[in-house]
Amino acid sequence: MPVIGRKKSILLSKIVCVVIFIFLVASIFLIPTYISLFKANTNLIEDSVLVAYIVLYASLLPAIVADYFLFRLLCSIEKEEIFVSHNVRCLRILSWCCFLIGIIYTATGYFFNTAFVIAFAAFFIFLILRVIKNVFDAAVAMKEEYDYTI
Amino acid sequence: MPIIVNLDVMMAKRKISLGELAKRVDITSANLSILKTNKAKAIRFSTLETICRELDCQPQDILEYVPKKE
Repeated sequence: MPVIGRKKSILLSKIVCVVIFIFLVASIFLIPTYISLFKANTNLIEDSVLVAYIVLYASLLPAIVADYFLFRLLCSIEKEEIFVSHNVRCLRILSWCCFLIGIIYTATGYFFNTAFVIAFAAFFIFLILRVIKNVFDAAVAMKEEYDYTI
Repeated sequence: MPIIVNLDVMMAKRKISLGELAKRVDITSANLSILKTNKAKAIRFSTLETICRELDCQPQDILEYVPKKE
């Protein structure tokens, strides 16, 4: 398997981030289309349609925020600024966005059982991001200690 | 931090500038300035040794312990 360089890897991640961002912003207008498509293929009752609208619009905001901070994190890494407090902040916001999405989908589980799967995935990503955030936090402290050792 | 670096006092006694000392100790002026302004978190024995040699002094002339006020 070909190994791509670090710069190309970051560029690729940034492109994916931008594509997802465009998709998320477009979803503001496309959610009714998604729901009508979903409705055509399943026997959704009217109450569930309303819930689907609320859930999709409610989870859109944390998703956009998370994507934006992921992009900023990638920009920081590209500038060789890895262990800085700004990245810790980005990771913290990312993790809370995942937690929020997890909460939204847990609440939806009553109407759509499959939502529990998304909620579980969101909570798991939240947990992983918290661990990474804590590692970065410790690394920032160690870097500061190293930088100020004369 | 309860450890105070009195490098500026010793430098004044020896009448040596920051740039000159940095050159002699072979560290950057920026790093020596961090040390002088008490912003440093630690000092290597090798750095301390060179500073003491160049300023002809003892470590206690540069470092001082001042207990924290409760």
